Amino acid sequence: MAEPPLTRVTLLTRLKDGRDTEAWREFVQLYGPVVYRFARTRGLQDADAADLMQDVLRSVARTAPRLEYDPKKGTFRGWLYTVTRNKIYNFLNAQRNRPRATGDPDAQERLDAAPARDEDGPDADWEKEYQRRLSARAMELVKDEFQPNTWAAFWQTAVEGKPAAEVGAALKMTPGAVYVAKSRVIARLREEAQRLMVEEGTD
Amino acid sequence: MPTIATTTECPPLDALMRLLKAKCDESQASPLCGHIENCPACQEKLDQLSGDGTDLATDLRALSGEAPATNSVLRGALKRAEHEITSTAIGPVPAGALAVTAAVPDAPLSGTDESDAPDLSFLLPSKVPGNLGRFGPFEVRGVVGRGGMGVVLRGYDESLNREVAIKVIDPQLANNKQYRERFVREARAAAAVAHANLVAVYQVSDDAASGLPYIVMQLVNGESLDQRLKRTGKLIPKKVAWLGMQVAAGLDAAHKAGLTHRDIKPGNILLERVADPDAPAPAPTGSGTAPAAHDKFRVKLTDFGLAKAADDSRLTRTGFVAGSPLYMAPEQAAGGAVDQRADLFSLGTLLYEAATGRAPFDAGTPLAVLRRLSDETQMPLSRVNPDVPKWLSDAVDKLLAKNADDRFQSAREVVELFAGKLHEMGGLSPLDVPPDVCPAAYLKARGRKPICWRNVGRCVMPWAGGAVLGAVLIGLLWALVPGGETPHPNAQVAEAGPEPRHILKGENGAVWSLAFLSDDRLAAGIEDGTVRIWNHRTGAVLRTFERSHEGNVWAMDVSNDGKYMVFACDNTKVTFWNLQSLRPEGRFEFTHPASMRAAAFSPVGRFLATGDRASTLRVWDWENQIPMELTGHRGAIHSLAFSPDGKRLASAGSDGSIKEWELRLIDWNRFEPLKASMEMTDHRGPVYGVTFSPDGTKVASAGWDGTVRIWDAMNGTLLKTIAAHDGDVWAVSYGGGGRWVASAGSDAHVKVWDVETGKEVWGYRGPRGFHVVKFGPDGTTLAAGSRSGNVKVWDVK
Repeated sequence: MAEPPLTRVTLLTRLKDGRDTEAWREFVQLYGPVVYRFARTRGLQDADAADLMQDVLRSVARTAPRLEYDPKKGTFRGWLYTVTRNKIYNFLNAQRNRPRATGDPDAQERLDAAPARDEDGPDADWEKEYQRRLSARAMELVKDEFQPNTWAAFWQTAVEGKPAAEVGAALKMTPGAVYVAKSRVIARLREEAQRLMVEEGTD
Repeated sequence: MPTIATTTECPPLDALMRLLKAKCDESQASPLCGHIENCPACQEKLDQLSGDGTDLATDLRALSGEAPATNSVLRGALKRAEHEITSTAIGPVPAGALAVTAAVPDAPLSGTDESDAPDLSFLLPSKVPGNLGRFGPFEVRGVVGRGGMGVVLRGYDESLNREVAIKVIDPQLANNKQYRERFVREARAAAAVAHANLVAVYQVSDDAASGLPYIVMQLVNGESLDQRLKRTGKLIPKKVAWLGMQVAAGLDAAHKAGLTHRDIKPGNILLERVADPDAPAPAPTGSGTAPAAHDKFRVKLTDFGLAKAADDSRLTRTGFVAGSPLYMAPEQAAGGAVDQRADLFSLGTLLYEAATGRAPFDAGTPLAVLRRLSDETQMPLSRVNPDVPKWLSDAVDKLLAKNADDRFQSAREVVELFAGKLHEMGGLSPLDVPPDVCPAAYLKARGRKPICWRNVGRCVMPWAGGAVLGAVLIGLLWALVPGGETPHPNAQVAEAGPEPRHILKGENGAVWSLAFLSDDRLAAGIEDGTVRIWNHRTGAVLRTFERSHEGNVWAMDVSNDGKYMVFACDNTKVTFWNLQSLRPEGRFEFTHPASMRAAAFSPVGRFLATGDRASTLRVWDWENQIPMELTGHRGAIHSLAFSPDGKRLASAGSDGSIKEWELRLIDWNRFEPLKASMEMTDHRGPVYGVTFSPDGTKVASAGWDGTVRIWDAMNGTLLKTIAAHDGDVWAVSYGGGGRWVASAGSDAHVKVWDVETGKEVWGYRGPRGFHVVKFGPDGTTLAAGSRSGNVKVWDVK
């Protein structure tokens, strides 16, 4: 993404401040569900996935002040993926070993967690959850900017896949206006998703 | 709706773009809309302009299709996570938090932990019903609080018919002779200073019954500034100035007596209600602008001089500055030398917090505080709060100068400035002026040198200057090495000495332990529990176990068959790993009553020695898991070493002694504790490292007193004392086939000594203190781990 580096106050930079509650809120809202859903794709139950999510976020909160953004070392998102993946691995491993666990189970599960190599990069599921969450977050943030009609035109055509004419009839809009409405919402959504990504500093 | 069928031509691109941005206005958009409706080309263009939305739409469709069930705990968990992070990450750093993160459970914490009831077992029963007990000549009526040093009791002195505060040293700390002496010495020094703005120290003695030293102090009727700020948020500017003047006056008196407080924080500032009958009558307030009488307070500083004793103890235990860094001067937080100007910086943070309700470098974690402390300049007070007068804002900025040379140079300057300005503000009557401030000064001084300024001979240590000079001297001896790592922001010294062959990045905090797994594999144990293994010949990381242990990895060792590894971390169990499977060996469990500090395998046979922080030392027949107690140490066991033949064990501890144990005397069939066969007690203060020479005839040790000592391992004779480091020496290691001993010091030096001559044959200075040093099996590979988080490797020839 071609973004002038000077103007970028990345989410990571803001998180490092430690006092920027808004940044932390944004972080939790954006990434919490990604971690949760990714954990679910790996077979964790609802409650376990939620616990794991809290655990991951807590780790990030503890580590953030020490994190340095270095594009060479990989992205923040990639790092978060590593943390999440290892925690899931530990969780599953601990579950597997529970019946015969002896010694220090914590150490064992951590031991088994071969840390993800950075060059591998996040896997496809993680990326997919991230993209989805980004879209959803963008939607949450921009939805109120539009007239209900405009939004409905977008939703019904783009998401639900109904023909513009049918949607227009129901909403008392010309099909052309429906087209324009849809395009306009999409343009805005993309812009917002872009902003989130840039802010996060992981491009 | 007008039908303008004439818009058959495709609109220009910019019209379409405007359409995307603007609100769909009927009159303008409709013709276009009509066209777009029938023009696939324009539809496509619109899609292109808005960006292909199919992925977005797919995402949204997927999400709407599989939204988490309404009874999912996700929403609640998100809320809790958000709350937890924003409240804990944002709130003020709890006092002592840093000490906790710095890893030592038995290090004194400067905060109070309410869940942890104070240990009052040293009290004798009282005859007065309702009282807690008796202590020395005092009836104990209650507990005032707990501090880093011990507990503060509310006592009643029958002979003088007055209530007093009695500070009793923590029984654990009392075991440390060095510390205990310092506690008493500093308290006596504080007792020698009497000033209206200092809590009076009446008496310092040892309790006959318990043997614990204690301090009897004035019981102040009021609240701490900490409590006050919690209650009211912040103070009005005039009160801030009033507070500043009085704290500075107290500091001035103590500084003149040669005492530095080093722990000025709201909890140590007591606001005495002036209504106290013991206090002189409140000053007559001539004008209505004076602070309301009912809210008038006299400031009293407490814990003077004690901070130094506590701080030394913390430093030597953890190698890390303990306590909350919120109020620390940058040089203090960096662990550097501190003079009285550090107290002035702390005064600045205090006033800043009093004026705004928030410490200037407040941040989520101690590390974040340190970062802000070194990198950020606070927003001037007058901009945060327009009611704060310019002079006060400027004065606080000057107190908060990063460089001590840019601050006020004495507390007296601060008193005089504040007294003068308060007078101008009309909030000061002559009776309010601290006792020894010459009233003429604040009327006439006005920024010039005050006329009653007395230059008292106090020792200002030129911290920065001294450090730079040190670097220059070292630079003459050693070629300067370009920095291989980021120096600490406050470290003003360059690294110097032979360039390391490799710098292995630990990156997770200070490195505390090292072990050579083979000729080329080196493991390092790091403060946060990470263990990392490198090929030190190539510098490649072979494996990293992130936080595989709880807390700092204090010690680790490899069994003589190379199959197992042990780790002593901040928990009560030695972690025992199988190096083949790289898993903990669950069959074995070696537990201790207190958290671990040291562990070592015997080079021959099946012995494992383990030591904890509370004097328990054990040798295990580890295959059969039979422990044998080795009794005699008091306090933490810092280091363990087996003789090369595996027949003897040397142990070093906080009690200042090195003990040698004859393992053949162990009768494994009878559980009779083994007593030391030899003691070496010449070290002053804790001994941190001990090791045998390769031929087993000598023992090398190092410790708190900055020395490396060489002993005859057979008869305990002290053969050589080397003044090795300026500060703690954390580790020693034999190399060069027994000709050399390497030492690692908190003064950031690693040195190699010729054992015969006691001369330094090699040296290196890093940016941060070194905690551990080890020669490899070849006797020439030298590895050292430091607080910077790196392991440096050299070939010493």
